[in-house]
Amino acid sequence: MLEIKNLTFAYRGTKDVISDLSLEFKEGGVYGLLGKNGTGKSTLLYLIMGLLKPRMGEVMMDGKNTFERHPDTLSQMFIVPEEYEMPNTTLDKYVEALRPFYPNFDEQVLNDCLEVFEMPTNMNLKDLSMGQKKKVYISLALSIRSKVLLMDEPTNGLDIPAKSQFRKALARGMNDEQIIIISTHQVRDVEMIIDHVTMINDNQVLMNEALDPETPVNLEELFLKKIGAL
Amino acid sequence: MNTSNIKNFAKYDLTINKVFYRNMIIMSLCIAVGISALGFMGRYMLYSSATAMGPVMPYDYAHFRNPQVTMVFLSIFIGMLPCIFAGCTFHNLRKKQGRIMELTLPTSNKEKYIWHIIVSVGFGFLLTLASVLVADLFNYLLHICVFGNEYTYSMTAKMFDILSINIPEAELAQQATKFPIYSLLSSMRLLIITSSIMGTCAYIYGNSVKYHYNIIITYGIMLGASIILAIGISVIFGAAHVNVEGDKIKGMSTDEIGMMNDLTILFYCLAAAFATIAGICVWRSYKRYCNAQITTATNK
Repeated sequence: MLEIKNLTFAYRGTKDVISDLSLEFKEGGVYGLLGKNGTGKSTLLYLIMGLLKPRMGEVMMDGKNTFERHPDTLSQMFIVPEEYEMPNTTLDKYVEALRPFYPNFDEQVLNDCLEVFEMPTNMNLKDLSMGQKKKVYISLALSIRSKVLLMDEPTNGLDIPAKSQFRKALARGMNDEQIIIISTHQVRDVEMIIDHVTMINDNQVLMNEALDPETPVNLEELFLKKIGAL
Repeated sequence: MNTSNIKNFAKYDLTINKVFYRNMIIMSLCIAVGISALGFMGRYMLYSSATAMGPVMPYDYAHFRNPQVTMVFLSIFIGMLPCIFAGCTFHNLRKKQGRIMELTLPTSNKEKYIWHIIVSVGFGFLLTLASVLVADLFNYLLHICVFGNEYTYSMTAKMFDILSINIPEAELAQQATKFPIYSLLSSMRLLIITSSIMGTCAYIYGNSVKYHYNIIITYGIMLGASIILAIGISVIFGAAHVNVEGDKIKGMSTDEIGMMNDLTILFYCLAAAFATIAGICVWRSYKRYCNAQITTATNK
């Protein structure tokens, strides 16, 4: 289980981006983290991953503080950031270098996801376009089969067919023991796949609920209502 | 700590930074060979001009075998390259994306840090040595082609000769009856070694604070500190050995043995201080690495 306890964080010289936030994420859930630009969605993902040190509070993954970055904890977590660089090497060599760190790595899942994305199984990563890099990175993330998978704006840079491929790849690649948190402001891209919504705005959690699969919801309208724009 | 984790991290680092390491090797070799080539070209131009003047200005060929200026520049290269390597210890953290990958990789901070030190210090030192040897070989081959076998020697051997205190043993023993020369020589050697180590550690620490422009900033700080230290030592040591009669300075002390003893003590104290500073730099850089974040005040 992933627990966020009374988390407060501010970048130096700025006001609190996150203030006294407490949340819980359970296995088997696909959580949509929604909010306007600049509300701290990416910051929250970095705090969960242990990439930022909170001013107060803590993030606990199975009882361990994620900022301490224990290898055992890190091997169960993976983040797909909004922007990233691929190394100047082939996918095969990159996978061979990463594999020893992630005991649950599954090459079949990688090949399945690449097939969904219509990407070859071996390529030089530096030669890919931004959208292609994203597809490869998402495929890698899913094949690592970490307990916690964080995705920051995963559909940014993907064309419309690729967004549909993303949903298929995610459905194929995820499992019931995973906690998947997708941070996005492009609600329509993920509303078919998430089963739990957390909305944040101005340091407040506007909504933190499971979605009823029987009752489809227009998340965009719901979000606008929550922030008072509708 | 697990050595297989260090090996896995090493393999990962070499895979993603293959181009970076290759470029560092090429750059080091090119600079060293370039210094050697330019030095030789300069000497050859002088030799050609001198032989063209012939009887008007007869010249001994021996002058043109002597690559002293080249050795000066190679010595600067030997001093600078390990510092540059040390300043690139945490090169993976230069960019935000690199920080994400490095800091979330499931290996302990200690294991990652050890690998970074092995590369920046160990590999840096070996590459410096290899570059100098290649430059030396290049110089030797050029000399063979132009001047023949008779007038060549190894620059590397000569530089080590100059660095080692090359005083005949009999003369040392004779001087030792008048001055505490053995202690002084030991203290000088220790000071040279500890100051080199401290310099390298300072660049490692500088890189842990700032991931961009750290080499220039660290160099500036070290230069400033060296100047202040040199002035301070000169003033204090000079003042301690000045003869004062009444309120007038009558000149420097003639107690040479006393000065030698004080100098020896000073060198040992400085060596101890440098070793301590080096240890603190390594410890603090490790702590900073453990607490590294994706964004900080000094690294955006």
